[in-house]
Amino acid sequence: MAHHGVLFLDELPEFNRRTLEVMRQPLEDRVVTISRALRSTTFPADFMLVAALNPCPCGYRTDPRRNCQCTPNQVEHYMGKISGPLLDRIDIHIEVPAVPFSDLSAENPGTSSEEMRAMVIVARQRQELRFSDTTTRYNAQMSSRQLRQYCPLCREGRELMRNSVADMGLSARAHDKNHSRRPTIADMDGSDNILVDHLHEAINYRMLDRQIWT
Amino acid sequence: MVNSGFIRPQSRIVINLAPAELPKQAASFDLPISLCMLACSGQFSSEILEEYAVVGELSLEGQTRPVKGALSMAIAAAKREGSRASWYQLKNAPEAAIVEDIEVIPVSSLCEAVGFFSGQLSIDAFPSRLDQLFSTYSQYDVDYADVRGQEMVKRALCLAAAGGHNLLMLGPQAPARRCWPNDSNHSAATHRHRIDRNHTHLQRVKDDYKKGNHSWPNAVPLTPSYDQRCGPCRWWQPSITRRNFNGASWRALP
Repeated sequence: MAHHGVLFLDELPEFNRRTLEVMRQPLEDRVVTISRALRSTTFPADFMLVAALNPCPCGYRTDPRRNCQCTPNQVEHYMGKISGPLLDRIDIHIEVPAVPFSDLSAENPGTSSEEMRAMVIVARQRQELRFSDTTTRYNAQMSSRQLRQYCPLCREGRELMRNSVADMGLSARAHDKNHSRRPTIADMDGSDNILVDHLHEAINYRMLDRQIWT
Repeated sequence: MVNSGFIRPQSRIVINLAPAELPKQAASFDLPISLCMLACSGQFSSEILEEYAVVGELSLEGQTRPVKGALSMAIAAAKREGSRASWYQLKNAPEAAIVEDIEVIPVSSLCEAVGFFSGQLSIDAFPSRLDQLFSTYSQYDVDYADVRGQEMVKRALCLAAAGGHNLLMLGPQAPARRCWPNDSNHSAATHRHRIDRNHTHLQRVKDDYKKGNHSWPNAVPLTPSYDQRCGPCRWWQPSITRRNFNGASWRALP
């Protein structure tokens, strides 16, 4: 696992379940302890996980144009390979829908890498300012105390948060993750205040918590 | 040693590699051990030998060969008080020169090394080309503009890169394929995001190691071969075993 790098896992449920569970410690503590025949060593492993998966074994579930052939049992077994605690540690869940022909053949180009890079740089600079006197470097690393200190919730936001925790059955960790995504969205929009809109968007990025998939 | 024109001492030689419990990759000690033997047997004398950290593998002809983990060793050398320079084979020099606190002196053979230490040969320190490395490796052929639709996903990718959040993409038939500009180069595209922060990335890795919390010869993810392949991004196949996933198999590696 590359320290401060990106770990990309395609077809997440195809991995052995025990293999995936290995990631629990590094995702939470940002270090990994490896014991081998010769010695046991602790390495820094603060990485960003990017994973991709199909919603079912045949891959056509949620595709409006094709019929899914999988039985509910198969789907359950497939999605069950990824444990709840692991999903909990992944901040952003997003659906990648099938692209309609009109989009595929469209002439106008989408957002380019340059534009995306510019957005990321702006957000990073804001975070540098925010965490200038701490060891934290970006929003995902914030502790609960820092969350409360840097990103207090307004009354309306608290109400929204309470509803979502109750409706979606969020864990304490998922609750904090929702919080920590909020300032990133504000950073990217270049907004100094973290608004309720940002919280709305943050909650929307927790698709798998809404239990429509599993 | 003999092939380089020196005389191998005939007496019994004891070399102590302490601490004994640390596993060592013996080849990288070739050059320092040879130099020590030559200096001890009086074949050359040097006043500056103590100031240098020396790393290198020797071939049978007395040429130096590249070693693994040059960057980590350079960082370790920079941490040690009293050593002001480190020393590498030419291929390793750009990697080691990333550490700006020390001067990196590339040598191509044992003879050159002896010449340098005895003062008969002057070798310039290898310049640090950090900026050049970054500009080289932040150029990509792939571009997100080639991804049709999926603006929502691109925004999520930006968010993830900006805040260091983990990301999960879910969709019918190869979600990753449709989100990355080029099938064969997922990692490069993701890396492109990350390269924005690569300056700080490397600085941070260096900082972490400087703190002394972690040390291992190969633990820094920026060896040239690695970097050319995919930068600080790893992409595993599903068949990977649990042990390989979090570190190498029989010997612990990051």
